[in-house]
Order: sequence, then C-alpha cells, then structure tokens
Amino acid sequence: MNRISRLKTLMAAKGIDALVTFKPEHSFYLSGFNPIIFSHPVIAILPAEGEPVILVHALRDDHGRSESWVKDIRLYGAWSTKVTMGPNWQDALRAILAEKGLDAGVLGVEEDYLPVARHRLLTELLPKAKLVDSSAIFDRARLVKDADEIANARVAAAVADIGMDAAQDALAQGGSEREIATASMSAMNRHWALHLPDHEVADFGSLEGGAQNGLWTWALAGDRMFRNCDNPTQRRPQRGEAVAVFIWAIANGIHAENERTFAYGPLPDANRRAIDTILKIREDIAPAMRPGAPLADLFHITKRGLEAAGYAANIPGRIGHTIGLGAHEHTSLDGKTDVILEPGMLFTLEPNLRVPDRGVATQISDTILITETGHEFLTRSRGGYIEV
Amino acid sequence: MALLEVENLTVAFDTPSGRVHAVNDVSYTLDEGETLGVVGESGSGKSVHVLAMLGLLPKPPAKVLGGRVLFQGRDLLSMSQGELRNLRGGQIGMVFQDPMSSLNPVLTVGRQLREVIERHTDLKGRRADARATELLELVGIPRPADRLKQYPHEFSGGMRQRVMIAIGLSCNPKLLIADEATTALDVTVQAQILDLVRDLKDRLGTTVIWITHDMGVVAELADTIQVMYGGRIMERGPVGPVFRDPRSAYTWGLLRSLPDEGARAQRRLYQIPGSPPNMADPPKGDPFAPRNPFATPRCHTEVPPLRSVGDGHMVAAWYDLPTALKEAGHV
Repeated sequence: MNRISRLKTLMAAKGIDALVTFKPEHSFYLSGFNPIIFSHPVIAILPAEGEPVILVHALRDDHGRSESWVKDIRLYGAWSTKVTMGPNWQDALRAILAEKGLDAGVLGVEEDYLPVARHRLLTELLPKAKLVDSSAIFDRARLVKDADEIANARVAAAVADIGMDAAQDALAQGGSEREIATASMSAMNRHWALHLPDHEVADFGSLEGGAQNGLWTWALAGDRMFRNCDNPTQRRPQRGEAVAVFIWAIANGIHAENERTFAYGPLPDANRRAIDTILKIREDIAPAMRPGAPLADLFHITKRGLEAAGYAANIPGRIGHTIGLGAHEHTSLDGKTDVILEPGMLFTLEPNLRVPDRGVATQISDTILITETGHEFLTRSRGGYIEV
Repeated sequence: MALLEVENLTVAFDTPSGRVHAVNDVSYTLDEGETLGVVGESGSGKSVHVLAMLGLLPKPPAKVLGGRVLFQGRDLLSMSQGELRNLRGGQIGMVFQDPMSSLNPVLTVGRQLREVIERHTDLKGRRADARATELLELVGIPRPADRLKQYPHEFSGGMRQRVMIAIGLSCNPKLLIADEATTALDVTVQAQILDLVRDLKDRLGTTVIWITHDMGVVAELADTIQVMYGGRIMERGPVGPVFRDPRSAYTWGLLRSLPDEGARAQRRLYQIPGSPPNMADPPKGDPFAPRNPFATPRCHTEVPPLRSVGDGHMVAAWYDLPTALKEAGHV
C-alpha cells in the first residue's frame, strides 16, 4: 500500500520506531477495519520495519478478520470462547511492543486525538518509551490518496450527486427542509441498497456512539443559511429565497462533499449577483487546480475576485478543505497553506459568501481530485445558477 | 499515405472468471482523409481496440498482449502516458457517446473548450476565447459567444454532442475518433451531426474513425467499412461493394436486419440467430461459426485469415458466401 510507504518515509524522517494509533480514522487507514463503534479501542501498530498489527477486542474478532487486510490480528478482553492476550488492551499492547522490541523505542501517538488520561496511561504503561506526536505525519500522508481511496471517492461522489438530484426534486415540489433532506438521503440509500453490494457506508464512530450510515443531507432555507450546519427543520422555503443543500456521502471510509444553492423562484438581485460572482470565481480557479500549483493560489484567486466584485468585507477564512477519511480533513484552502498540489490530492472547492447585512449567502461545493494533468470534478451535479 | 497502421493488435482483460480475449490479431491501415466506419455488436472489440491504441483502458484488468499501432510512423503502444495525453485532444480528437458524462456539468462550456485549447495549443486568454467561439460556430451553434457562458444542462442533447465534436476538433486533429457519437440522439439530430461531420471532413480533410452499431450511419458517412465480431475483423472494404455484395455471413445478417422500405411489407426483420460468443471461452475457429447457417466444418476448428475478394474488399471466411446463398435459395 502506498499509504504505508508514505507513513514509513515520514516516520524515518522523524526518527519514529512505531506508530501506535487509537484514532478510528487512523486504525482504519492502517488496517481497513471499521468496527463502527469504538467503545473498545482498535489499536493499530505500524513498526518502522515490518508489517502492521492490530489489537482488537475479542467481540470484534470475526468482523475484523473478515474486513482487515492486516494478517496479524491480536485480541484482548473476554467474549464467548475467544482466546485473548488478557482482559485489557493495556497489557496486551505492552506485550506486543515488548515482543517487537519497541517498548523502549520512539512511539508516535496522536496528540490531537488522545484524551489526556489515555496519554498519561500510555506514559505510565511504557516508562522506557519516548512518546512523540504523530498527528502531522498522518495529516501529510493522508493528503495524497491511494488508488483504492480514489475509487471509493468516485463512488461516494456519485452517491452524493444522486442525493443532490433528489433534493432538487423535493425542493421543486415545495418540500420543507426536512422533506428535502429525507428525500435526498432516501435516494442515496436506495442506490446503495440496490447498486453498491461491495461498499459500506458506515462512518467513523466514537467511544460512546457509532455511525452506521454516513449518507448525510441537510438543507437550510433563507436566513437559516447563516447557521451553516444545523439539523433541518419543518420550515418550507418561501418563493424568492435561496436554499442551500449540503451532502456528505461516504463509500468504504472515503467521503465526498456536494453542496448547491438553489433559487426557489427568482432571487432578489443582491442574491443573484452573489451567486454569479461565485460561479465566475470558480471558473477562474479551474485552471489553477493542477499538479505543481500552490494550493494557496486558489484562495488568492478567490480573494481577488471577491474584492473586484465589491465583497472585500466578506472574504471567507478558507475556500475549502481536504477530504477523505474525514468529511473535513486537516488542510484548509486558505492563503497561508504551503501545500503544493500533487496528483491524488482530494479537496473541496467551495468559495462562498456570507453577507449578513444584505441577507445574502451562497453555498456551492464540489469534491475535486488532482490528476496527472489537471483536475477532475468528482461530484458532477448540475452547475450554474439553478432556479427551481 | 497511411496515417494509422494497426498491426496484429491483441488485447485481453484478466477477470476473476478468466481471461477475456477482447481484440484478436486486428490489422488494418487508414489513409489520410479516409473515413472508416467500424461496426459490430457489443463485445465485438470495435471500441476496445481504439481505447487500447489510445492508452485509455485501465491496466489491469486490460492487457495489450501484442501488436503495434503506428500513428504517423510512431508506435502509440510504446508511448508514455504523457506522450499519449499530448496526442489525445491534440493530433487525435475524440468524441464519445454520452456528452453529459463527457462534459463537466459544473463548469461552463466555454471554460471546458478553453481548457482543451490552452492545453494543446499556444492560444491563451482572449485568443483561446476567440478560437472557442469559432469552434462553436463551426459546429453550427448559434450565438456562440453567448453560448460559451452557459452550462451543459442549458444545451439540448444534439447541441451537447456538437460541443463534444467542437472539443474533438479544437486542435485541428489529424484523426477524429467518434465512438457511438450519435447513438443517443434522435434521428433528426443524428442526421444533422452526420451532415456536420461530412462537411468538416470536406473542409478540413480530417481522417475519421466512426464506431457504431448502426449500418445506416456507416452507409451515409464512411468510405470504408470494417465489420468486427468476437474481437476480429470479419470483413472490410469500400462501403459500396461491401453493402452490395457482402462476403461474410455476419455482414449479410447485419444488412438483412436493417429495415428496408421496399421489403417491409413482405418480410419480418431478420434476426441473427444465437448470441455473441463468450470471449472468456471463445470458439476455436471462426468466432461467428456457431451462429452461421453457412458454416463449414473447417469454420468450427480453424480461424480464417482475412483474404482479398476484390479491390480492397477483404473477408475472413472459409465458406464462399455467394455460393452458399445460392445453394440455400437466397439468390
């Protein structure tokens, strides 16, 4: 796997002997196993030399073995007739690290994820080891996607497109925010049920909850667009209002994002002008989405475009984000990022406007893949000014 | 002078159920200015062989097992992906079946045309805009400067296909390859597109490969017809002689399955019996033999080579079709 090679290169540069991961996205990244709920941690260990190991609770044994590509799967806890390394993950982890000669090594752990108590516990559990932060290593490795991740992103994007078409239909029929959202999610789920036998749509859960289904849609009408992210309500869009539809879809752990702003009947001139401005900026950005170009250029083109159109006071902090295992990954499309675009990078393109004093908001986003020669829009819902 | 020389091209797909022999030992030449119509059913190899020569098949599962494809004397199969990318959209233009899949619905038509022009020519900025306008005008789109600012969904199906042809022609390609480019269009729009291609061919001298399952389209457009089946060329030659005097039983079946104004009242449309071969386990001899009422024992055991039956007219058959038809009372 290219991601394992990328991680090992980054580990070598930082002098890290092994990565010990608890973050659900990262244990999946290293193993291909998502137990959906993480009340019992899945711990993935990637030595600088050698193959990864995963340590899972005994009740996840069957699931883990059927989904993970990792051959070395160890068990902890007690469940049915399973034979485990002991009742808790702490002792099992210490034993595995000792077995591999890593218990006194430099271990990379996710300081941006671990609770303080767990970090303290690891320090006490492994007194001879040196714990260092591995967060930046994962952020960097995840910037470029592997072929299987790109294939899954395409599937997720196609599902999101289906959801957007259904949302538009529901809006055209006078649906409420909730009716728009449920029609969209229903269409995505129907497609998944009928046509995607080999794709899971589970998202990544947490210690206290799971996410069985990551096909999400929400709609915000009129001034509710200023909330950006909220549970949809029973409110019905009024004629002349803009309605934003937001979709995150996932396929085998990889997300895509698709967002559109619909005009519900003709919009006031100020709203129409804002949408036209954003559409023009997106066109201006397109040629800059190519390998070798600084990611920050996309922000600067947006900034210039907004200033020229009289929106200098409304320039957003960023115009997108990287996407993949997370619907919002680490890197922002802002003016400060030093990332240079490479083939395989995946991000959202979403220059948008919020002008509260004029009641103007736009929300248009697509998932973009950087290719060998330029870029590809993975989400392909209808573009332009869309009036329903 | 030959623009394209295909020599013994052989392509397979490795699948979980075995190796699928998609293109088998295909050879032909295409002269500058010539229009070749490639016909055949789904799975005949008509599309796969051009996708293989352009490096557009995913590898794996696709694998080019042998052959050469010389374009202006250079072997496309030996080129890097970078070199092929420069050729595609440049000297070789392509138009595919579904313009809604090929065009990006998120960007204006103008941006998409400009992108191709800027990538493959020295024209930038306003000069690229001017060229984009000129191309839309060339393919008969009214008010081209205004239409460049519109999105694909604001165009009709026929207009979108014209845009695809404009993109295919944007860099004055030596060779235009169109794959089922009019299949999704209604007959009126199809006729307009065919008129347009004929006109462009006459004016620009473009060499064309037109891939279709529709014999009628080939009759209207092509100089040469190439009938493919089971990944092989079954018959090839000038359109007139092949349509008047087909020598392959497969071509004969295709022609009999066409509606005929004069004969419609007298007979039902002919259906070729049986189904296309399983190319994971192809027939040992002539791939059409299991469906061919005129097949000889040799057809079932040995692959026939292409042989000449007239001026540029070639057939791959062990049987003699005119004799077989006469004996069967079809003449």
